[in-house]
Order: sequence, then C-alpha cells, then structure tokens
Amino acid sequence: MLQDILLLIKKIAIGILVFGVPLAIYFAGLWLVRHVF
Amino acid sequence: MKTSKIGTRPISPDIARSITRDNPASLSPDTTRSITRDSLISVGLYATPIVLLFATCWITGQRPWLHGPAKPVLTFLGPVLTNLSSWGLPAITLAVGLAEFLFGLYDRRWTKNEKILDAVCFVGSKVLIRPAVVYFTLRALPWLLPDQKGVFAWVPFWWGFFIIAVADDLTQYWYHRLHHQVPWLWRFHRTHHSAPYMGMSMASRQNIIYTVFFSQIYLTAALTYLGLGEAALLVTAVKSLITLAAHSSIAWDKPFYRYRVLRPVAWVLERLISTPATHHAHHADSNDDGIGHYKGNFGNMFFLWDVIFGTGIITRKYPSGYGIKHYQQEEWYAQFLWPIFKSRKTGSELSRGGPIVGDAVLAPSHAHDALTPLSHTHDAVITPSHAHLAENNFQPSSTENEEENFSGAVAGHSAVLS
Repeated sequence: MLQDILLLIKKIAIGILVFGVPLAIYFAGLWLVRHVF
Repeated sequence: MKTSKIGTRPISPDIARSITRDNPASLSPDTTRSITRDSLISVGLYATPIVLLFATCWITGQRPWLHGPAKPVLTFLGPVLTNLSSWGLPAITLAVGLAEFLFGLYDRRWTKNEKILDAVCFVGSKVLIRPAVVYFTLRALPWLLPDQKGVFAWVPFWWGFFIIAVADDLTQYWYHRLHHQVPWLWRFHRTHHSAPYMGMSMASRQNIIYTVFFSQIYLTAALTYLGLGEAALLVTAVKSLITLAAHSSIAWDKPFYRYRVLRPVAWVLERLISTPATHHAHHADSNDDGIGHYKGNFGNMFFLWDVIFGTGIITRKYPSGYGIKHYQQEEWYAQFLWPIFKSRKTGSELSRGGPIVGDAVLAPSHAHDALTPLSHTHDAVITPSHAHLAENNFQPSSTENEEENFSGAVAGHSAVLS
C-alpha cells in the first residue's frame, strides 16, 4: 500500500515536471517577447 | 492483417542478451545519458517557436500586442472542430471500429476480457475522466495562475498553432517515452500495449492513472487559459485524427509507398507524422522481423521527434504480431485500475509485488524463467542492456526497402492516447 502511494507520488511528480518545464518556457518566453520591445 | 499467436516464437538473442538481473530498479547509464541529452535538446525545440516569434517581431517591427486580442480565424471551422472534439471523434472511432469488427479484425483475439477492457477504457475516458479533468483544471487554473487569463491572447493564430503543436506533441512524446524507458513507469502504460491487435477498439485503451496524469493535457489547458485556445482547438483536432489513423487497421499510407509518383510525399510524411506503419511497429510484439520497434517510435502526431532523437525506425511494412509476448490476459479491472486493483495472475507484472520488467518483451517460457524468481520483490528489475539499447533504440535507421475551445482542446486528447 505504502509502496503504491509512493509510486503514485513519484509518477505525479514526473508528470508535473514533464509539463511544468515547457509551461515555464512558454510563459517566460511570451512574457519576454511582449516586454522586451 | 496477419497476427501471430502470442508466445509461439522463441526469445530473440537481442532480448536474451539484454535481460539481466544485475540491474537495480533504476535506469541504465546509457538510457540516463540519452534522456538527459535529449531533454536538453528539447528545451531548444520548445523554445524554437518563441525565438522565431521574437526574431519576426525584431526584424519586421510588428507589435501584435498593440492590436489587442488576435482576431478569430476559425469562424467557420470553430464549431466544426468543437463538435469534432465533443462527439465527432468518438463517432468516427465507433464507425471505423464497427467496420473493423465486421471485417473480422478482432475475431481471433477479442476475448471477453479484452472487450470489457476496451469498452471500459473508451467509455471511462469520455464519461468519467474527461469531464473530471476539464472541471478540476478549470477550477485550478485561476488559482494557480491568478490574473493571467487571456494574457497571451495577442499571439497571432498561426503562431499560437505553431506553439501549441510543438508544446503539446513534444510533451506527449516525453510522457510516452518515459513510460517506456523508465522501468517503474512502464506498468502504467502496459495496458495500451497488451492488446494483441491494432484498431479502433484499443486506441483509447489505457490505465486510468496514465490517462488522468497525461502531462500534455495540463500544458495545453494552461496555454488555452493564457489565451491560445483557438489554436489549441485546431491542433488537438488535427492531432487526434493523425493518431487515430495511426492506430487504425486502415493502412492509408500504403498507396504512398506503392505509386512511384507519391513516394517523395511518403518520404516526407513518414518522417514528419506517425503513419500506421511506423506506429504499428511500435506496437509489435517482436523486433526480430526488422519491422517491429517496440522500444522506439514514440511520436504521436509528429514522428519528427523520433527522427531528431534517434528513437525511430521508419518502416513501410506491418508487423506480423502485436502486443506483449508474456501477456497473461490480466483481468480488465487490474489493467484499467492498477495499482488500485491488482491482478490475481501469478507472476504478473500487475499482481501484488509483481516484477518490474520494463517494456522488455519476453516469450512466455523465458518470461517464466526470468520473472518467477522475482515475482515477489520490487528490488529486481529486468531492463534492456546497453548493447540492446545501442542496437535498437538509438540508431536512427530506415528499412525502406521493406515495404468550446478549452474543453474541446482538452477533450481531443482523450480520443487517442499514444
């Protein structure tokens, strides 16, 4: 049971990393495009 | 389409070499290295649309944000795409699936257990998972990104399309690839590969945890919330059609290989998007025939990622068998709901304390040898060896000689899942 919960937590963490990094890139990138000029 | 009986072939020398019980429950150094290298390259790929938008603004002097929100482009197509995402794709899936059934595609393989699993996954994703994901994401985004709604609505439509296409599909590539290459993640994706047939009935077949935490759903949802919803609608519609067609038993790509005049188009297509041939190869039950490539061809809409990262093999032939050689016909509820519900099959990966074998495909007799001693421990893992990875995963090659915006955007993803 505990192993399953840890497995799910690890899986969710990887899932967040997989979409969090590109989201940060796009958020920062589009913000920069808007504010540099 | 031919299918072979599960487990009638002996284990391949490649696989035999690759299986080692010395590996810990972690990635091999080669896999770790390739994942690190490719994820760094991906940062550049993700940034490409932004860099090009920046360069365009710099060179042309355009300042699209001064004109307010971008004008809607899909005035006519918008309702069509919305309907496609809501009921259109499921309707297409059902219609093609019915035709496949009538032509006997599933005759030999579609046992009662497989039928229930396919149906539960199809209905569950439409009726349960999709509404839940849309509801909770809509509730969470204003809290996670306060005052940011529509902040990038100024981005012109086609730039938004470019951004979403790269963001969404590259994220799905990584989500999918990690579930193959990280041994302890494999069991969340195993349900999709356990189907011993290809077709509409298995296109939505996934473990519930895999579907609920589909990373690109949340990325595209966030970008939609930030103002790129119209572009997201078109991307998800196009992507759903491509991935649905790639899982289909309809070999729409064959005419492109047969007629000389179409071959240049085929050359481009098979490198750019997933074709039935390349995606069927990903679902093959063996690599031995030079067609199957179950440890690669991870791309969903774009095959280009596999070309760039060297994880793809381009084939124009179809594998003779699909699925997992050591498949034990685990109970539908275990495949759909693992690890909440476990399989009662002895030695199964989905049983309580079952072995972690990654996506290695073993013939039953060899699987028994390899799995039985490990069946009650989480410590032992059977993973591909470095040599196997080098031979099958990381050498790009070709065997051509063988032959409402938000919910719509989110909904498209549940039509076909990797």
